[in-house]
Amino acid sequence: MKIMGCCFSCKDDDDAQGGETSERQQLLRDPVSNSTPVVRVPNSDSRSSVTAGPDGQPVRGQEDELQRILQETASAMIDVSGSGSHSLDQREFQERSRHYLQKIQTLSPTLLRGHNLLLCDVPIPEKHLNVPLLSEDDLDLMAWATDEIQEALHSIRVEHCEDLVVPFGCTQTAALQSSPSP
Amino acid sequence: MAAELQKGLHQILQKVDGLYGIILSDRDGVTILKAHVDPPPSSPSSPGSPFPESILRVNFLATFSTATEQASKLGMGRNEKIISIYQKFQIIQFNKLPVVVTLIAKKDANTGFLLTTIEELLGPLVIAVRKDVSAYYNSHLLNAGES
Repeated sequence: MKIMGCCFSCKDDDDAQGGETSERQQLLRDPVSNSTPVVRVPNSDSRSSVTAGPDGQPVRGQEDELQRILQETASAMIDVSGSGSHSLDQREFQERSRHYLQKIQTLSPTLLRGHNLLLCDVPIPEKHLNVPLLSEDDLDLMAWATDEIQEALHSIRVEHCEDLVVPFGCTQTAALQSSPSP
Repeated sequence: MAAELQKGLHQILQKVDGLYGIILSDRDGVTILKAHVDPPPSSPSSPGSPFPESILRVNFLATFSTATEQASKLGMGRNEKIISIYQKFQIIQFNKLPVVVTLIAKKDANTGFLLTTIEELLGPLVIAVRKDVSAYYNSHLLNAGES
């Protein structure tokens, strides 16, 4: 079987990635497929031709685009060689210290008061939490007492010796007379 | 009310076990507000000193802003905190640029507690200080541009 050829097209990655930059994103627009009209600006450098966008406004040229890419690459580079070279002179150091001190004076001291979420009704919880622990004897006494109470609760029995329904202080005849006739 | 704020920082130092110092500084290492226990002697090798005095200086504090900016370029997003653990103590620094928060604690202090609770405690203060420092940097750059 002979294969004549194959062709395929990739969907635009911007839609899939939500517009995020990736290694496959084109840095420069394809000049061949550029459908925007070219507007020649008089007395301008031929290297940086200005193209008009869909709304008629001038778009940054190729030179500016390359410059932008260069700046972005330089800012993304990791460079620790110049880390120790920056130092403040004494005058600026003192000026800044004085400025910060003035600003600090205007801040409210309530900025450092944290919100008490636990034990908020206890004014000084650390004082109560720092007291010595209970002794073993007290713990044993508490355990014994609770066991006794539980056993006593389980042993409660009701013994009924009389009728369950009891008329309150009146005879049966009086109760029938007072009841409404049907 | 700088004295009140410093008193508040000292109270935090007393409450947290093993915490030796709290320093708020700007990106160039200039101290804005600080509190530490028992002023360390000038010699870093003197016995009994909890931490070397050099940690409080501009040279040390200024290194964090460079470190955190470079660390943010490693492809894992913005660097938020850096923990440096040494033989006898540890240093935790928070990236709240233009403000840097530095905590100095003993080596076996509760790092997790320092990372979360102390950051929450200092949150309102850091936000208030950031506004002033940002305004200072903006006006400083403006004046530098004009000159």
